Amino acid sequence: MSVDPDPKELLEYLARCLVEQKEEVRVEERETDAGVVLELRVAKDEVGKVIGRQGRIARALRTLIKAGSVRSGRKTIIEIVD
Amino acid sequence: MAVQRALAELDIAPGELREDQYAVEVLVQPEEGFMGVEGTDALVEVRLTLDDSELPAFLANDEDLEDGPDDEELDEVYMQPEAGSTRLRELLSIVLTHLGIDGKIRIVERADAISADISGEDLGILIGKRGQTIDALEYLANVALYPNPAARKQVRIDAEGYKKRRQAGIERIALKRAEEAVRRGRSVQLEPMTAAERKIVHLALKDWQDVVTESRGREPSRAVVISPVR
Repeated sequence: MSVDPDPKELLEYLARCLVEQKEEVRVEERETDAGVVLELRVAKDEVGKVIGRQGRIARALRTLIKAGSVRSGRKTIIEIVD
Repeated sequence: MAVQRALAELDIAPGELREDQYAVEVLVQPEEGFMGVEGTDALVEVRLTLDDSELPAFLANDEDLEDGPDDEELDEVYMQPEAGSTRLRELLSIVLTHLGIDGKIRIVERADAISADISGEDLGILIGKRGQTIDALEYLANVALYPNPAARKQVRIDAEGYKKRRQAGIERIALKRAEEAVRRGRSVQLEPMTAAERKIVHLALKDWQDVVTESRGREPSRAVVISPVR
């Protein structure tokens, strides 16, 4: 498999690993002054699976995506939309 | 033998559990040694059957020790042997690609755990500041592979032995500061650490009778305090 580093694709992939309704996973990318915003949407009843207890899963996702955007030098922000 | 090792892996001391508090499933029968060839121990899966209220205190209720996925997610899933390795390899190779890292992945799967070690050049991005990135990846891999705690293996991810070195370094500090707490007869506070690092300290000192450990403060300045017991 050869893909270019892409925080959006990485987030989509990781979110699909965490939920059962994989076809409901959507990530939209928005450019803002503060950086790139990745809006993550999953099935309503599975939002907890990408947030986790005390936001622990969301925090881990942010940490990884941040690492993935180091090379591009663009600040990346994740928003989980419910 | 294999059962004892499995319990030790779960940080359970010999004799700490009654035999009705865990279930053993033999996955691979032991083999006798033959003509100078070493025999192999059985491969077993040990599952705790006691409920939370019976858990040894250190396993039951310290947020620093909670690595696992949330409860009540997914019904019974029983993983085929090796199914975990295949999924973990896929997950890691995709993550590495997206981090722009060309690394080699080596995976060892046992009855109770899957360990992956990643080697390659320039693994700094994968490890992250104080290991935060690799800890996050390990946590996500645990949740993604085994959403059901009843049928889970521990997933461990290391990069060029970084975690082993970190553990050894932190254990050394923990022991030194614990001695200091006892000698001076008062609490000492370690420098702020990540949850994974604090867990190493708690575990390193859990068998010390003359000190107790506790995490205080808020992230990211949360730190372990070691106090002498009088």
